[in-house]
Amino acid sequence: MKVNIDGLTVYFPYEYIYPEQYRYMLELKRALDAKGHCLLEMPTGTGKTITLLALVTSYQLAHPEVGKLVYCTRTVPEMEKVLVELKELIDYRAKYFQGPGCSPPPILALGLSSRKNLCINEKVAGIMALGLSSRKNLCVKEEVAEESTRESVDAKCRQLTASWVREKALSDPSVELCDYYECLDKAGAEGLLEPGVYTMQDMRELGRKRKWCPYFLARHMLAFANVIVYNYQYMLDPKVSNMVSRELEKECIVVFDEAHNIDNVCIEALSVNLRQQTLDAAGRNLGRLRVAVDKAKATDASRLRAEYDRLVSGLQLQGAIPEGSSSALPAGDDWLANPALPQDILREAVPGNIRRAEHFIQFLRRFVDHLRQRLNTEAVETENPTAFLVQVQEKLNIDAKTLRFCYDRLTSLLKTLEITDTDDFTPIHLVADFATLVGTYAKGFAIIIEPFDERMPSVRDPVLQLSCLDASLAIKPVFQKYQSVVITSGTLSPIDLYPRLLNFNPVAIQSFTMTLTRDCMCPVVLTRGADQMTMSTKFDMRSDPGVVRNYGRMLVDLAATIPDGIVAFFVSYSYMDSIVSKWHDMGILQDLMAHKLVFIETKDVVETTLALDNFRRACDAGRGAIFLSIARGKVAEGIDFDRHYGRCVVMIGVPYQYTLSRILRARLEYLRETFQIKESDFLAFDAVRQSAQCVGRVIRSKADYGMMVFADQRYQRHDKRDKLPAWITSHLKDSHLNLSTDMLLHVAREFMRSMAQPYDRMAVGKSLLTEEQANAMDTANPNAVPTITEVT
Amino acid sequence: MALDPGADEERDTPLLVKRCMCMLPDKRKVPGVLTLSRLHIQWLPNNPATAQPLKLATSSIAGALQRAKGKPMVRIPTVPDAAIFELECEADRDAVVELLQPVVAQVQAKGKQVAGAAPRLHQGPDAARKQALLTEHKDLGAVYQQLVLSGLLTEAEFWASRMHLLRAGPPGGTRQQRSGISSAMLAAGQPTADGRVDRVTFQLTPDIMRQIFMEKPHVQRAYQDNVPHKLTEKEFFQRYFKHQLVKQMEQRRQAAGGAPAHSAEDEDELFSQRQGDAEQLQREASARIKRVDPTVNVAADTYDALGEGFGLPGKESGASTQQAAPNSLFQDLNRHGAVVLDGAGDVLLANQATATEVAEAIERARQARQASARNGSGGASSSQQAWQRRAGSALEDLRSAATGDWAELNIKDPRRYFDTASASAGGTPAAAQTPAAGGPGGGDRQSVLAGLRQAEAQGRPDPIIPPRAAAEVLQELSQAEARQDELAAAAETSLLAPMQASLRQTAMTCNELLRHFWSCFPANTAARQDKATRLQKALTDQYRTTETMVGQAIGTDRTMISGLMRPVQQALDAAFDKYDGEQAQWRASKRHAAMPATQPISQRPTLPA
Repeated sequence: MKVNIDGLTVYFPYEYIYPEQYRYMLELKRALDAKGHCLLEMPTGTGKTITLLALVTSYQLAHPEVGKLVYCTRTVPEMEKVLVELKELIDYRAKYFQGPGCSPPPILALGLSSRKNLCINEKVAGIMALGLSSRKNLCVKEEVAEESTRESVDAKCRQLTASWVREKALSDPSVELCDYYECLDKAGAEGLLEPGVYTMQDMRELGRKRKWCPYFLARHMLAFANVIVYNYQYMLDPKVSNMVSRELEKECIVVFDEAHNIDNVCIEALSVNLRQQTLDAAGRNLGRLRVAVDKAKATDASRLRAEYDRLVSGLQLQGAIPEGSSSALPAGDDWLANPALPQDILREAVPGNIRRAEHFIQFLRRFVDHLRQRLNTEAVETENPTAFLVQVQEKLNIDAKTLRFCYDRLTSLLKTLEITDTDDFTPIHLVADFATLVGTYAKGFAIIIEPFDERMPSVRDPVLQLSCLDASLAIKPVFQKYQSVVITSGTLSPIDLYPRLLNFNPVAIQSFTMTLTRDCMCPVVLTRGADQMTMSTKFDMRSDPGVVRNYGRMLVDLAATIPDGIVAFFVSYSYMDSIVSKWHDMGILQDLMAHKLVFIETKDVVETTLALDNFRRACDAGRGAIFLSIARGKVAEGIDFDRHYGRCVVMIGVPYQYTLSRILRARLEYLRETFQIKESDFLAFDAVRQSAQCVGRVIRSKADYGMMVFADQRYQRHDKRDKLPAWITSHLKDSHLNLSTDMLLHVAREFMRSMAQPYDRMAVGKSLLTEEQANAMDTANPNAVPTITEVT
Repeated sequence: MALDPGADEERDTPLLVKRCMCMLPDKRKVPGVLTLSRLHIQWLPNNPATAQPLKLATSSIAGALQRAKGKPMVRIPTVPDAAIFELECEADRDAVVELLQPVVAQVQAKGKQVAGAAPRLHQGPDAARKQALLTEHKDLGAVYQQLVLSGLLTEAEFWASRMHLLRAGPPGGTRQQRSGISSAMLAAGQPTADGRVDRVTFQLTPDIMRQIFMEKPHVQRAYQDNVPHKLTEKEFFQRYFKHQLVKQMEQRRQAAGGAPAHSAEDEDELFSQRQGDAEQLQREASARIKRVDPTVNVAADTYDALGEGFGLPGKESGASTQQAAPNSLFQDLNRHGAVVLDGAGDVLLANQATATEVAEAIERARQARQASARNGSGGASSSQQAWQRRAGSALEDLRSAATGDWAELNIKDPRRYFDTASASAGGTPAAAQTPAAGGPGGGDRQSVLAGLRQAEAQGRPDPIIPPRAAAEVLQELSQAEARQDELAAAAETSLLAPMQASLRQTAMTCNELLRHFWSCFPANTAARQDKATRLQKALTDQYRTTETMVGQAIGTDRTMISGLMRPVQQALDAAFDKYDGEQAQWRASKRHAAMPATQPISQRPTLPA
């Protein structure tokens, strides 16, 4: 349909529109008109993504001066979904531009991901795990080391595409290059994508067909695209965004979808942690650098000399490699950029004491030794960066300014030495990251040294963390640079907290409710088991056999009652681990499997992915399945359990963060001092937004239906319930606030029976608007936000 | 073969008549007269009260004639039984044998030729299957021989009503409904203890072995490596369950907070996972993950993230760095789910009893799957489309219902579908292609639609048959059937086997012919009319055969035979009545049509009076 929103023609790829979608567009359009930021909460299951895409692409059409739409998603699966929906939208829109002399407006949309996801060169992406784990000296985690990581693929790619490697290949034909990159390079100016929407799969297929490298093609085409879809970190993490997103123009519209966790992403982006193993490996890295420098001195002293000269003239960023124009291909030797935010990076000459390569290595060695000493502590230490710097100054005679240059100096050195196996140098990289951040920021950070994990005090595992406490730091440059930033999610309650956390002034802030033809959501609070014993995952109760059994029996009974898919979320991985093992011993797991197949999220992402795929197959086949997952996990964040994939979602417990964590403590303190946010409020807010996020996974449209079981006695309390988004609380009946398992089953049977009946979805005017109704709304009341009354 | 009844009669003229005794199954010797013709061997008892007459077709002789040494006896092996005759002297016996031998040889050669020719006659991809059916079901084979090879029915007509047999897959009923695997997993391999002695018992069935091997490839590999040269099957499974038990106890102790009491003896190195196993599993996983719906691909998401060290230490993984071993229970659960969903395939169907067979079958299935995974990248694009459609259509209620997409008509086996369609449309497949027989002509569709509408308007009587009449018919039929059953039981004891066989044969032939005859109606096309005429003629022959059968019998046999053949004759009578009625109608309509058009009517068969 074509809807007129406040004078803007919006192409919406459906015959009907939900009233809240209409209002969402209106609100968004006003924010874009005002060239300001906005914060919009709209319930899940109301088609947020397509609404947003429809409005912004139509806005771009009407206002060519607006820049790209940069759509940031939380996960790669979300990214693919956005691209598919966009594809549908563009196909639909083309219908309105058919006819003589009229061609559909060209649009180019693409997703960007890491090399690991896009690379099609067998030699790079297909490297087998075991060959790698031996190469990796950072052997922190066996499971991770077993697969090729992003870093290792990046490194391998650089080995084949770095500018000096390609130069060398001109004279020495035995040097291996990447065919795909060379082909794309040869295509030169012709190496462009036709207008269209490209998912990652499309990019890889196109790459195989034309023998072009999809990763570099995507990087290259960013400049030409109308819509870019990528991960948050490409926008928020200065290390990545300085490399990828620096060229984007100011007029861009930046969207953060599913942004309820955006504060955590911001904090992650500016944090570093160093373990004992990292520091040991960093020491070995320095040894290798030392050797490389000596070798370079003997064979090619002029190169080091040239680097020194560049550093004197202060061109540390641009100097190391010739910076191409924006239309040229990005070279294969680009590095993760400086971890500090762009406005905080000093544009001046590198201090004299680290200009010489051997001096710099000396300097790093002393710094690493110092960190090792600090790590060798028996007690937990928390301090702010200022105190840390004072100590460094006293002991090593190193000042903050020198530390700030550490990262760029290291990058320059690695490039000068033409080192390509960068994944081996990750440890020293991390140290340099740490140095630069600690030298740059005095406020909003904390340094925490923990000799062991509190949960396992017997095992010594020291870690030095530089934790960012202020989420507004990382997102500040985004708000400053781009004209409109849209932050949206299904769960942003309480919505007034986010502007404070992120420190910005939105021109529009709105929380929409949901109109429903029928009660297709059934949130309930389960407080007691069938034996009337209180159920909770409170720390003192969680391992009680009665509670364990009650939770288990509840799942078994639900599995017997509810058709198709069920999802259960646990508060943490360790809790799920222990309770499922206990169920196994009690025989509950066997009972559960008599009704449905059981799949579990594990720490191994590949296994989890396959489990999810199998879960879907089991639901498709009609066998039905249960997926056991964890709140705050990968699955809770990006996977939908819509339609028959999820007829019921159970949130077992309240997913509080691990409250004894030092980092959390430090952050809470900072929030209290800076924003006057009470600790308990923040914790409850954080836990409830996670559970709301989990239960929201089951509803993807108004035709969909699902039960939402909050299985913990604590959800009955006001301080938890009030923090749930309005679209859940408005469906939470008083009689469903204090259920026991047997009552829950009764409710579930009733609900499933009533929902399975055919219904008149055409109760148009209440929850659906036709094209005429939508347009009539505009002419009748052009200035006010329309309130939906029952239209007959 | 037997198209011309005149030729038949000529071949049936007696060649030799000899006095002889017949040895009955109860070892009685009854004097009588043996008449040999080219087609039949007939023996009539002198006193009809002493025995039943015997008539054998020469074609039913199943092997070489056997002479007894020193006695004037001959044994003629036939399909159900052998007939033994004792002649008056050896010279007579030799004369009989000499006369019969060339005839038998001729018939057998012909039979071989026919049997050899038969596969060539079968057409289409089901040829082998058809041949197998004919050899397996003797009755079917006999009817086939009589009707199809004689040219009364075409191959296609014969098989059209037996599509279900062809569809059922290879004979022996191995293609039953495929059974899946139960969702339950952990019940298998759970020990039971009787509580009296300190001993646990494990139950092991082929199903449980299958489950163990399918879900734990390393156990299967250990089995194939060690059994039978190093361990017996029993020893292997004893060790396996012991290993499992130890593992469980260990886990329980650790869960209870006990220190890991790990000793080398507890671990059975036989069941330890090898490095290669992990590699193999990983390779399978990475091959699979390429075909996974991208909207559930959380692995891709992790690949997009920066590595360990950047950001905060993982909330959960930080704690897990020390406990390197992943939760094996979870792995087992996920693996079980995958195995159940992949289905047992043919592994479950084949009836293996021993673990070795099970292990081999699973190995074969696994290799087949790997091979198909290597070749079959074609499925990727279709699954891609499927997920894109699914992801793109989340808000299905915003689309208007009328714009439902057309679903592609997916006929599993188009050839079979059209075979059936053409068979029901009338006569040969060739006839089905003419527009008159309901082919894809535009006008036809119109007429069919019009006809349907008319029928709808007229309505059907409700109920279609008056209940009283239906009840009467049902009663009559059930009584008749009861009588028939009694009769059949009596006949089984008193009639001779060859006689029973020939009665059966005749009845089956009639049944088959009648089935085809009735399927010709309504005879609204020339092809159908022709076919009806042809079949009517064949039925008349059969009627005559039954008459002679009854006519030649004597005494109680006669009543028995006529009783047994009565339903057949009644059915034939009904068919003749129908035919006569229809024929009158055809003539009338033909005259009607011929008058204005003066078109010569093509090939009207001359109908028997």
